[in-house]
Amino acid sequence: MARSPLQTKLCDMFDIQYPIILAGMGGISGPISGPELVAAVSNAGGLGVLGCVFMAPQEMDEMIRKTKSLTDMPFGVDTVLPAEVPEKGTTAEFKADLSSLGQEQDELVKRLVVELGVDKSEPADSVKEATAGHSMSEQADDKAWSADLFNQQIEVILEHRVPVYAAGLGDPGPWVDKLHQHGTKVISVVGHVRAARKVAQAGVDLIVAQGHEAGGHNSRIATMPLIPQVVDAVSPTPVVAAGGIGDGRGLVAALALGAVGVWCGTIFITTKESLFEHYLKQNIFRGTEDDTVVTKVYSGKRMRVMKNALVDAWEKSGVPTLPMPLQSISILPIMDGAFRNERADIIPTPAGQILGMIKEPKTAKQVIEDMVDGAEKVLAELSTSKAA
Amino acid sequence: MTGKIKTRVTEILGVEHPIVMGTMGYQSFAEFVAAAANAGIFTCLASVPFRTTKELKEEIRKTKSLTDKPFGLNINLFPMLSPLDPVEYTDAAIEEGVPVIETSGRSPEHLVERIKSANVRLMHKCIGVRHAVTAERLGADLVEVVGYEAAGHPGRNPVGSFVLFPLVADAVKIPVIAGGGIGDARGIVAALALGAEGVCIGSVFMATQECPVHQNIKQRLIEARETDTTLTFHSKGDPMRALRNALTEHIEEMEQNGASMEDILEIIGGGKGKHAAEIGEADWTIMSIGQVVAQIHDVPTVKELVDRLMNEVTVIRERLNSTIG
Repeated sequence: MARSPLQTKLCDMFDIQYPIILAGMGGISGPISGPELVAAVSNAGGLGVLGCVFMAPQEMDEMIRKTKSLTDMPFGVDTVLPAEVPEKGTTAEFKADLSSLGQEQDELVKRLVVELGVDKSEPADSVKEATAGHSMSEQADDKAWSADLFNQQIEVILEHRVPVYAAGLGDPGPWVDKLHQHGTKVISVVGHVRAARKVAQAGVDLIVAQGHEAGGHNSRIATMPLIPQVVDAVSPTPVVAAGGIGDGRGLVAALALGAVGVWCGTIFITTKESLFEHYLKQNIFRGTEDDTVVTKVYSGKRMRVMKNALVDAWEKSGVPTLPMPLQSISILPIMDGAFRNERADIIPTPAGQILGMIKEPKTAKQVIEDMVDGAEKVLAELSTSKAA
Repeated sequence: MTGKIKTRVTEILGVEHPIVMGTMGYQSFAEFVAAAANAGIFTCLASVPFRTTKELKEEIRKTKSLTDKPFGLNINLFPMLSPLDPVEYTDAAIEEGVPVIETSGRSPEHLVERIKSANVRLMHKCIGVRHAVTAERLGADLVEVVGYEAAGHPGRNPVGSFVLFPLVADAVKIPVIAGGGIGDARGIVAALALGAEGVCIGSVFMATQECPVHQNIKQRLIEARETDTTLTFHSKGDPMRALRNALTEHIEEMEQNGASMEDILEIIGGGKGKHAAEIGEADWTIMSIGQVVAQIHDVPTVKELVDRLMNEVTVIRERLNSTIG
């Protein structure tokens, strides 16, 4: 029976209709790829991935149950496994470290809290409701940043027999066997060839090669050279392309480069189902591909976000950033005030350069349908009208 | 499906394949340009090395004696880079019947009328949507856009090719030639899928027999990894992508110590850097190369490379067209 070129090995691997994966997006303030978005993507024929970055095990459990109630289709769960964090440690414990390791940064933060005007005023009502009176710092205090947490998160994934686990950052090697034993496939997101080889050797099922165009944590290597280089380096392990994919053209281009599908963040972050703050979505609709910057200010690792007042001010100061997780802990006083006041010019808007193509909110289903329709059109053009 | 791809780019440039070999300032001389033209692709002679229009005209005639296929002339508009006024290079090209002028570095506004009234085609090379739109408005026949990962100067806050190519294709009606990150046939098909009607390939052609650089340099390209390029020369306000080596590290140090642009230029283009390039001292030669460098595995002739690329393009198009039984 005939198959469309869009039905790739990826579709067979995860039992999905289209080779489109939702990036598992989330952060210290909660998931962006939440249950509704994940279910919408999976129901539309792609693979939704829950963003459980730094999420406590109980919350993860709730999110997974909620997602299962909204879709019968396969979906995945994403966490991060950065190598730098120690065995144990909560925010409160790291804050103590800051006083010795981060004096220069601490002074800058105190100055910026005043300069950026986040030292005063009452929170907006919407914010009061969402955070039930706790500041970001208070919420963050018992968040753990440790290998201990990551182990607990994996246990939740194993318990629920989630079909796919994605390591958005770091090396899932040590957990691959256990995950495989429980019937879970493993995805690893990387940014250069050496990292790809490492995780391929550790036995992951799929590698997402994410190029410089991508929003969030960032590689120096652009997608166009990265994909074929990773494909060649890890063959026969399949590779999915990420970074700069905005529509059907990007999907076909990824397949031409040898990828079996795409992993997309920015085009889904602005959908109606995403848990991204609406006032940050506005930043994306209004912005262009020139409006992003790669900075270590938010997490201590290079991350692409839209240019804003905090990044400008920190970069101008010349003060170096701290490593993960100290950097994000050190800026909590600024972020507290920023969230209280819905400061779209301080809260990070992680977005890829593809934001230049995104002008309006769509449903996840529309994004997928438009991408598939566009891809089929491009495939038809490539095979006929350009041929002599 | 035959191998040939016809697009507005092949029609306007009068070339067999939709490939433009990126102009290399100190390598795109007659023999290299003729080899490219004879292999069925398009490229431009560089004008930067020529101190008089007489010398330039001689080089154009020499190229014509080596190929009867069309080729263009690149006129680099970065201030201070060329010994002559761009107008003089333009007039020389027109007088010698060169059919295409490629401008780069700055707006070609002051040259447009001259070029158009001589019925010469204008191809403008730039690094962003806004510049492409301006080039179209000024009357360019073709626009070449080059992404963050390319060799040369990608701009201060460069956009990666995966995003740049479709955004430019959407923004202009004239045909787009896309460059940056294309290391083999997969990249060619990807660029066409993203909306380009031609591709600009530079780095990979540096590792060809006919490219007039020392064998040691070509060997260094074969050995390099994708992470071995760096954006250097920040103090010029217009960083350049080059292979990381002792020279780029030295430049970084000089910049940190507040060295002047003249001092740095002296090291690269004059004195030590120039001598190093001549004797194949790869550690001290500035090698402007893109992130595709990791895809360079050998040193074929230009024709072998072009044939290899286009045959592989056909295979990929067939793969994308296939219905799996």
